[in-house]
Amino acid sequence: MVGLSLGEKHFIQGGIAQDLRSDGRKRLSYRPIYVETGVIPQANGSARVKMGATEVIASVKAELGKPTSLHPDKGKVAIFVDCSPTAAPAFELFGSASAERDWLLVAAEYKTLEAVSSSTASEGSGYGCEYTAPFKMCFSFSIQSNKADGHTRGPANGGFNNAAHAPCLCFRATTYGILPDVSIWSLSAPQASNSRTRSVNPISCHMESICSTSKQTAICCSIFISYGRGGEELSAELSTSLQRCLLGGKSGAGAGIDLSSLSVVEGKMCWDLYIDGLVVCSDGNLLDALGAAIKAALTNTGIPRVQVAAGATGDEQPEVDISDEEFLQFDTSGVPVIITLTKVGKHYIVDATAEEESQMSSAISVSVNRHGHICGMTKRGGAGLDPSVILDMISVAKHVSEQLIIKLDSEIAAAEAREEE
Amino acid sequence: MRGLQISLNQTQKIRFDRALEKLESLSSKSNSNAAVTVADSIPVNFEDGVLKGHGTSERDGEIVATLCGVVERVNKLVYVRTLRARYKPETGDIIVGRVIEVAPKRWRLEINYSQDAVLMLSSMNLPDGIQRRRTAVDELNMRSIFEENDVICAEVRGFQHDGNLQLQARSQKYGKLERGQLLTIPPYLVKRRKQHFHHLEKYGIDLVLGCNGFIWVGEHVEAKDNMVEDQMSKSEQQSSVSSLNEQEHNYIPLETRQSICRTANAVRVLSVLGFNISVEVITQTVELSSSLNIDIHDMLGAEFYVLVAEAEADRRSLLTKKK
Repeated sequence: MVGLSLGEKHFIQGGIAQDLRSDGRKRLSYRPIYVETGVIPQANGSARVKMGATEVIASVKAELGKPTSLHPDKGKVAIFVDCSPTAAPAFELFGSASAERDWLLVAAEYKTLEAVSSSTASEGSGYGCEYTAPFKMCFSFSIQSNKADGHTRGPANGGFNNAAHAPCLCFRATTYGILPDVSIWSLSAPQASNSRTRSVNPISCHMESICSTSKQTAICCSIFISYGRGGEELSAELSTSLQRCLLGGKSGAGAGIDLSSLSVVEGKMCWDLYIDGLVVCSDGNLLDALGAAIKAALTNTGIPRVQVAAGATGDEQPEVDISDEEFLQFDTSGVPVIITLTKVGKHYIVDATAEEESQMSSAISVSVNRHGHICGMTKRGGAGLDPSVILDMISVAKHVSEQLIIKLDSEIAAAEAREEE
Repeated sequence: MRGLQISLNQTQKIRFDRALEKLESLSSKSNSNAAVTVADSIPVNFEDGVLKGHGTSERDGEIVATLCGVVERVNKLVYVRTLRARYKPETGDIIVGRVIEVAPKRWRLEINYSQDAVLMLSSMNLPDGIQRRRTAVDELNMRSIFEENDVICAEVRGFQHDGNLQLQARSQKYGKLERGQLLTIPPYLVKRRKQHFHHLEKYGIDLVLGCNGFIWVGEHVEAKDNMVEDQMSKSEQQSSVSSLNEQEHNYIPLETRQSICRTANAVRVLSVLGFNISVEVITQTVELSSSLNIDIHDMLGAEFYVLVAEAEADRRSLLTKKK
């Protein structure tokens, strides 16, 4: 996300204080929500949700598995979220793909390949050599920014200036032939770049490895340059928040999704649901959009009908016949929606855009179900909140959830109707 | 427009398609024979030597287009100009940019172009308005003029020998833009006109249509005469910085804010629909929304999109009838 000037920040805060945000919304109104179901035909259920510019896709896959011994009558649900690198510049990923665009491998020098304790003479040159173990290989390379204007602009605010975003250099070596028994790669710290000159100096790095192998190996190396932490942290945070909001605690109490409906044979077989979320475009309020997408995907999910062969005894796995044609719709009347309340100044807003989120002091995400019960809660943000404020925010979230559930149900129904056409 | 992702119900879809058909029929009367797609051959008079420009290539003795766009001919140069091109700066363009770096004696701005633009300290009026040589003290105080992430409007001065884009902000109307919001639209929607600064008196707002696709909508600020207000402004600045708690009293009044949000939403709707942005179209859209008493946020709903498309179709048919 680009930075905001002082005047723009003042404008946003003023808008929230006066109940008229930048796009004319009130504090407690959502952006237009657009739902599309059945976007991934190979999955059991899928949905795409757009809230303004934020776009997420959720998919549900069902597989037969064995229930845990603690809960033999319940199925399992796993939720994972992935932030696509196209979602926002901050998510620009690890990997040589983006690295090639931004960083140019200036020189890769294969320095030495020498035997540490040589019992036979070294022969040959280059990568494929014959040595007896152990040998030491030094590889040095340097990278330089490839941007047109010659200046680093890494994720968020610039290349090496921000230590959290300094690229970390990973080295991956594949050995064809016999894998070395012990290979320890030690990376000597890259030269810190001068923040003034920023990127014009190439960064060089020196790596050593001591491998002990006695056979011929050809070492093929690829250099992986990764940028900061990217979207990994955010993905992990979203996954845990969703699990907390939808699945309840470890004992399974308070789960928004009814797990006992996923059981096939008690103690022996159950359905495992794998729910995957993908953030395609990020403009704030990811948690709400993912919650809505998961609810829509679950409504769209069809679990194949399973017929259990009678007469299974003891510990044997019962024979099952999975029908390809008959599907049972998953019951989603109990699935909660997630409402995120962002506190900016003295007021709370719902459905914050990325600009508004940059001004937040703290945010609370509450998942509320149809009956007005709270299924889970997460608090984000560095500022502390008074307990009375939290209770107030929860009551506001409950009030907003009534309209959101109605709106979301009608949008999902419209999407399913559109899909059938 | 590319993929209008708004859910329209049946009647809205019918009205919308009808409006789009009307627009298409109006526009296709103009020179459609100049439009080419990839691999179309370009008719060329071979007797004069022909210079093949961007978007063309030679194949089997024929000149063939490699882009989809309109064929332009300038003397002997033949090239294909795409319709949705990246912003291409020309000298004298008014642009709105954001400062990304404060460098020795210059600021670097991001202007939605393939490289960053440079605003030299010498191309900028000093706060006290005196024309003098910039000293080392001025250089150290650059941050007091513009900081990182500030929004600035300036004029394109030209290209340097090494290809850098240079800006200048010497007039009173250029400078930092505060108290408003910045919108980003595709640059091809903003055509070059005589005036890019607009003061909408009826609403009390300033509208700056940057040629690079950055549009600024904000509260109206009087262009200050620096020489006269030198002493007064300095004391004002000091007091405004110190009273952070009193910022609430400095918030933009609600009426002005409503106009700003309405105008911003009008620009958003027009940019999604792919209509050229100009002051007349924007004011007409704002008047349409206020005359129909549409809530500011409902301007981004499906119904208003259809209304705007219909209004634009009507407006263009009126224009062609007048001709």
